[in-house]
Amino acid sequence: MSAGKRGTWGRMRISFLINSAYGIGGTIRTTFNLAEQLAQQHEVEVVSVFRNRERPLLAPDGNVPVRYLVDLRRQESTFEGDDPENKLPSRVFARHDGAYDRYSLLTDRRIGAYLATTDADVVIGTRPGLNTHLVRQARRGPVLLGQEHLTYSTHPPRLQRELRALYPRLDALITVTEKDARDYRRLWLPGVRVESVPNSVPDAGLAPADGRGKWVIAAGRLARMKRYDLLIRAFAQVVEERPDWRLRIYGGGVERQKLRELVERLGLYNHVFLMGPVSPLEPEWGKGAIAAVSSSFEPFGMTIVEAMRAGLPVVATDCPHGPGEIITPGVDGQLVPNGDVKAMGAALLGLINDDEKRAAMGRAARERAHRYDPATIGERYDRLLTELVARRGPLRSGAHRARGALVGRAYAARNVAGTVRQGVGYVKRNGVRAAVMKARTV
Amino acid sequence: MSTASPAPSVPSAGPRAFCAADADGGVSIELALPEAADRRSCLLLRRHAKQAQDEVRLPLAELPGGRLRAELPVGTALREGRWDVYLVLDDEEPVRVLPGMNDLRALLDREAHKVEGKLRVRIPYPAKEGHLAVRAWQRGPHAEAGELHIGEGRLTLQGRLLGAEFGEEADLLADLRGSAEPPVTVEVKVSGDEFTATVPYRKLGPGLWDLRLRPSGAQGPRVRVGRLLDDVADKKPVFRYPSSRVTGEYGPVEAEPYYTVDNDLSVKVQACEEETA
Repeated sequence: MSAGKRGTWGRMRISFLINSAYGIGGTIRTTFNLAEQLAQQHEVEVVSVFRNRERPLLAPDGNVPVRYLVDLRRQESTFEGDDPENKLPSRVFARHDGAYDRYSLLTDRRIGAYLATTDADVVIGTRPGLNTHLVRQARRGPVLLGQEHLTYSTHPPRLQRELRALYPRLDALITVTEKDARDYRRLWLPGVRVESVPNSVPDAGLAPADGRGKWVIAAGRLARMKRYDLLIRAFAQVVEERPDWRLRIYGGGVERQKLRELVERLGLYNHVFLMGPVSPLEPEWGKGAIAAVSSSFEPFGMTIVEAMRAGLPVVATDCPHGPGEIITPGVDGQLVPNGDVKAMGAALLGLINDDEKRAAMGRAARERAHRYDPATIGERYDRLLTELVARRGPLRSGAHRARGALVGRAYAARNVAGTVRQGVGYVKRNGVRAAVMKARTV
Repeated sequence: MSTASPAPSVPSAGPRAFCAADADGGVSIELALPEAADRRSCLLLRRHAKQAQDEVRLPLAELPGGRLRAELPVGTALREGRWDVYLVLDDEEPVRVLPGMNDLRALLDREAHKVEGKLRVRIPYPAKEGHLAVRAWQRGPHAEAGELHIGEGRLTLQGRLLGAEFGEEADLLADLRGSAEPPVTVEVKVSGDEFTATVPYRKLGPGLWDLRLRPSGAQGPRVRVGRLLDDVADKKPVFRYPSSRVTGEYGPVEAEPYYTVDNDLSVKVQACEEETA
């Protein structure tokens, strides 16, 4: 769309709905990055369902207004965790979204009131459960855009079923990898625009790593999925050959004690350090020479791009779905088979033992990270949102949601009938399609 | 909140500083603050202290692009402790500064070869309340702890002496904190400015044992062993070591080396149940 055309539509009001804007995590980080970018041209707000801290850690300067719906700061007089409605289960939030237990009748009411009255042109949901709020509670009018920061293929089947029933009522669904977008396109989501737009990662404005520090850096929540146990075991292999190299793992989480015990058991307490959570994280990359990602599952991989920005080559497992779409093996990093300790150790040693290759790959990484410039990613969102708002209209919006509701009900019926496996119900699918066509002419 | 209307936005919270450390121990602090142009401005560093307050003022120089910069050179003396950073504009009340992107890579694996007189270390860090503070140490001489090796019932410590030279009869003391008992003394192997010492846990009873190096034996100074030469403001949670059980002069105990809140090295010893086979 040309600049002139966009001008006629002018500023959009864009509202992000997020579980919590006050914590640390990939979704929070990328939401603020995008919100701040879009705020250069549009009116943008971030609505946080929960507030559990005084300030949003990842957007402390308040370039984008943040508001919250439920106050969970225990020490404040405004604490609402003891509200009786907070003890009653949610009826709106996707039942099988992993965060379901945090949601309640109270969040149903608060999110519902926000979605019923928002004057936004576009409402963006940032996780499956919130996307189901969008389709169930938003007033007619705003474009409803669901973001998928995880991946369809790794959702539990029961959540997949819920999403198949509700996502037809979205206007657009945006994934962070092309692989995940393909998975969603295989579902039947008529009239729903499904696209992949990667997360943006801003330039921290820091000098690139000089690559002389003999440190491998990893960063992420200390959760099972990140497989830091694998990384630590792989690093034992590194230390055997190169005891002059050490590993730092930044982040906090439930696995901390277990990982610490592993470090002690392997006698690596002079070589592997659990650094704890750090914010901002960006300056830490510059202290290293290689970044490592050992995850068994990485929907996108913000830290990969952050490390590349700092000029570090990245050694990552080739897990679903992010690393393979970001890293070009041999150019700006290496991919090793998912879960393979030996291959991880060997790939790290390969870079540790070759200063020239490491430096060249670090330079390439920095160069290739520009694909994720906030300006580039923001422009893609801007174009997409502008088109979606332009083709909207109360009529279309209403008709699309009515059709979406029917498609969803058909899915639900199919689930009840027991034909829930993907690809089985082709004939039934056509049956459903016919039913919907009829409904649209009513 | 009695209605469903969302609460007001969170306000922005204050000026933000970007710190860069150099390998000599100096720190430069930069703020993007166009509104401070042509105003009298300085940074105020104020030490956390129960009694007398220490204050140091650093002039802010105007840079192009609405930025201000203060230098905290290694020569400026800061007493050991935690210093909060404030911005002062004209005669206004000082306001606390928030931490930005701190570039501390020069502190990592710092060599600090030439230490004349006192070793000075400054590590900018985000304080508990989220504001910028600077941890400072000035020590001379200083015994820097390196790798620790936990063996069968003992701790072997490698370290480096800075700001002094080893004499003939160097040794290492383990002092039971809060006790007048004579310390446990162990011998020290010296090679240049590096040293190695082994502390047998069987000689330690329950309590906290502080490690001190005596580079020239009983005649010279006692130098607290600590770990200062990197970018980690609080070592305690990051540098963790295995605990070991040993039955010694005080019965069965469990011992574990750790870094104190001041980043000094101590050994925590606890009485424990006799192990049954």
